[in-house]
Amino acid sequence: MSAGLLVDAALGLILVGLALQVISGHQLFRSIVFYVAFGLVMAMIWARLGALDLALADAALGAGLVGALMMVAFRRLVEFEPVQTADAGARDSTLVPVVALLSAALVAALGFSALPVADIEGRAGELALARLDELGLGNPVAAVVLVFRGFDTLIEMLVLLTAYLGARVVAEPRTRLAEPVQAYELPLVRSLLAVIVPIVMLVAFNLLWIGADHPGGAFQAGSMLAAAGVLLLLTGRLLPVERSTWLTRLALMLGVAALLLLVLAPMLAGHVAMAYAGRGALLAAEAAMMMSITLTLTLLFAGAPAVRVLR
Amino acid sequence: MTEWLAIALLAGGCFFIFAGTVGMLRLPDVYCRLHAMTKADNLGLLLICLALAMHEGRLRGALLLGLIWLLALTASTVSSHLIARHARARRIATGRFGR
Repeated sequence: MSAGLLVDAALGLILVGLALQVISGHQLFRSIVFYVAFGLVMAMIWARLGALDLALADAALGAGLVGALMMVAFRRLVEFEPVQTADAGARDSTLVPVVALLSAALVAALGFSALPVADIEGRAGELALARLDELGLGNPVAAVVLVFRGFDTLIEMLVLLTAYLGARVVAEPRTRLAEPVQAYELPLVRSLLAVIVPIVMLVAFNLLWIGADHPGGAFQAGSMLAAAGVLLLLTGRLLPVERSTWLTRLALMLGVAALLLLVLAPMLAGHVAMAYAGRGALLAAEAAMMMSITLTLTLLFAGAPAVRVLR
Repeated sequence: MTEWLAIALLAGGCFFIFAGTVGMLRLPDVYCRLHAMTKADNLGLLLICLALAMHEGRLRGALLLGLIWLLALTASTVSSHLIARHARARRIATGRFGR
């Protein structure tokens, strides 16, 4: 029994404990805090498993941005329904055990149905590892995400876009824009932004640039940039505006459009769909995805159709 | 020798972070809690970064760990300043029941 195994066991137990705290708590705010902690421990577990791409994504997205999104949603919820939010979930519905049992049964059924599937031919991971040199990529995850499972990534981008549109549809009839945050003119805040924002941009562009060969890529870079966007929104440097602009819409669509192009364009040249288009094409697609991801997450946090820079 | 020093630093770092956490949970009001969190945790993080840099034993790793510490220091300085400022503006009282 090695020390590493002990650490892994402890991390696994902590993760399960945190997950229980997230779903069993009676206070929404407490659940949100535990969810952020859950995301961080999850990132550590991915790192222990050697899946650095996922660790980065989970730390930036799962713990950081989703936490910030849930916090801002909670704040709006408190404004709308102070009483319900304060003791939300205080009385468990009688349906809870039934729903829990049915969900558990569904998970068990799915698990058992997957058990007999022993060997899957042509798994993306194996393909990617076998053909990494031929593709000229250093990071098998990038090869899976953009070459062997490009359709999945396309659908992920569509899900993100749909989620944003859904949020717009639900949010707009109910809310006017929240009062814009007063721009913080404190010297400390100004110097924090002057230090942090350039560093975040540097890290994000680096993650994008090295994504083909090392852990990193569009999702990680996009969530880093969106974190900078959240910081700028919180300090009043970016202001939510009520009307979307064509530039915003274009940037929101850019990721989906670039992936569609990456997937379908080889057909025009007479190859099969998703034929490998080369490193440059991958980088361009990832840059477009990064812009869309950044903007989608920032706008979700702003709760507005667009943002503008404070002048 | 270096390994033992690294282990000692790591243990020291864990102690300070533990002390900071106890302080955050046990101290009576928001200002005291901020005091415990920022001071103890930043020192703890420094010791842990030093230990890891010694364990790694290369300049590049040490510099990166130093950068991580500086970033955490910056973020915790500004955020605790903002929290304290907000608390003072809202006239959140000090003391056991000041919440």
